[in-house]
Amino acid sequence: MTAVLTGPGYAGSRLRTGALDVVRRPGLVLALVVLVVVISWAFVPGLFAHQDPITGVPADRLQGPSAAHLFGTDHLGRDTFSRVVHGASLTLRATLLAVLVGLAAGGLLGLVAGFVGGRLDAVVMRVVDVMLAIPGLLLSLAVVTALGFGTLQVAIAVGVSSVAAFARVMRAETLRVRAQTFVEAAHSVGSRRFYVLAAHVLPNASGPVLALSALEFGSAILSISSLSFLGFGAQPPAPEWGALVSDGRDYLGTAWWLTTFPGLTVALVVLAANRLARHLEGTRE
Amino acid sequence: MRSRRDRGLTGYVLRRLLQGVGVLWAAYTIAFVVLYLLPSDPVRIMLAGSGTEFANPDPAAVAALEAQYGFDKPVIVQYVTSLGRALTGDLGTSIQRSDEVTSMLAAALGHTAVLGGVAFGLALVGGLLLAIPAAFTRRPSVRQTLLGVPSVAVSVPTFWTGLLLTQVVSFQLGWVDVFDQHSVGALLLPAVTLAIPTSAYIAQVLSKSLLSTLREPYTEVIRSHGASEARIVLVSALRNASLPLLTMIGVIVGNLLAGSVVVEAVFARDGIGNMTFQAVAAQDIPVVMGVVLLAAAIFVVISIAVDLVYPLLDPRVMIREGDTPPAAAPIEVAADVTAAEPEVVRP
Repeated sequence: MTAVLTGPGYAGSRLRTGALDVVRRPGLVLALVVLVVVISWAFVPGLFAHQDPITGVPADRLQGPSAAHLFGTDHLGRDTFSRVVHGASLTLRATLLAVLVGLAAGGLLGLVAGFVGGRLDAVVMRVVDVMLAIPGLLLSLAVVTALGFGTLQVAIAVGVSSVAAFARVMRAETLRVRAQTFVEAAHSVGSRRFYVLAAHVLPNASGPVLALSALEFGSAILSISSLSFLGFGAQPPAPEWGALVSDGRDYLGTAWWLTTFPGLTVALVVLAANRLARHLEGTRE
Repeated sequence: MRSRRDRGLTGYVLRRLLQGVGVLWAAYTIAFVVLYLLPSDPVRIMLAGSGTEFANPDPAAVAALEAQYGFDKPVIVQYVTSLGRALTGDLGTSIQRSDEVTSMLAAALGHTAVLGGVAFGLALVGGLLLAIPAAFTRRPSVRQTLLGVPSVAVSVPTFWTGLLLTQVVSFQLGWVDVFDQHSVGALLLPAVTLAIPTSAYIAQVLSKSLLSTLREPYTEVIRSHGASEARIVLVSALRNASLPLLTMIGVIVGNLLAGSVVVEAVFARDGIGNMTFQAVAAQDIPVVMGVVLLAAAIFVVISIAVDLVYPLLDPRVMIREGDTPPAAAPIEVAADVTAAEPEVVRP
């Protein structure tokens, strides 16, 4: 049987189902392509864009999209495509940090609240409910007010606003896992509480939390670029995506490409991240 | 019988109001922790804002300001005194403009209420226009397309749609002068911008509950009585399917308020959003605190109102004596309305 399964016929049928999946879910494949391209931008921007993102060529200022400048150039003659490519690293790093802050703080809160239960659980969940009553962007703005401006501060602020959502999901999962027989068995053979928490509850409760992380990744990009657009994030001349759109505002009537392309990039990446998150959620059910 | 029910209702309302005050207190505390305990230096900000060289502030001036605002006292004393003032409706003074925060909020609220109200109306229309055809159609491809629109709409940054709309409608077509704050067009553009993500949210909630309502047995009963498909979708199903939406209004209004920060900044309009934007830019802590409290208060008031109105719209839900106030989560409306006895379905 094994020989048959690993033979060329099996590989062929796997390829076929793989191809069928692509036909059936072109959106998902497209989403993955977008994400892979953008992540490569972040790691090796020089491979995709050859012009300098910081110093421009004054002779080439405010040129429309062309073969030489895919996304056109700005008022200093800087290539907008190059700035978008080089901005990927800044935006994605901030997004990753924001999701990690939410995941770590919210996950820990939810895990402890769900595992310990009782009064602690009640207090933590009340706080979580109140945090959910304050719109996320306003909470982020409050944190930015206190911490000051910059990419790092904005990333932390966006992370803080997602803590409540992570805590809620993590607590629900912890409660579900804690009630299962194998956890009871672990307790009954005398395992320490911390060991049970780390070895049994956490790994079994992490699935939906990771699906939420994918979803939060998309909304974190949106929040971070919104805060940068408002001028609270990366300071010029750093090419952050939201800041790029903001820079183009003064040329709305004359140089449409300056706002259009960086904004389109944000929209496509968020769309791709959300599509992937929906897929992760779907495969879990 | 009736008087007993009324007494139960009064008790419920009182408990609900008390819980609302508790939420506001908790929101105040969270905002206080974030704004006053994180490493920031309000006095330095104040001196920088007033034009003094903030690189090297005069120690005497710093001490005088600290004493004036009470920053020299222990944190717990600051918390208690500012909470006491907040209870009397005094949210302090703006650092940047030396105006009362409450009067600033009151002056700006009207502008944002108009913008948010128009946006809410547009979002409702947009949501219905997506969800109803999706429930009507028998073609899976059309349904998939309609249901796919909201996921695109929530992925597009509002600051970008606002600028695109300005570019096309105002600069290229010349239909609207965005800088004229009093024209209808100048209100419509930001309202559309604000409505796009909200309509996507409404469409998602509505189409989900509409499709599940159409699968209910009572829909089949109505159909077998000879009701047309349009009547089933528009009258019977939509009425039941809109109930989960009602419980989401608090979240929707909160998101409109938060969205107004970006939209009012893009369109340079007066209102709570622009005030928040300027307050954050100047690190004006009392104003930011006031806006956070305003958002929490709006959420609390709306959720109490929804809880009180809900039983009137859905007779299956009754408020009983000793009921604990429900959370703001969407309620699954799955019971069969053709059943003879209306049961209490809310846990």
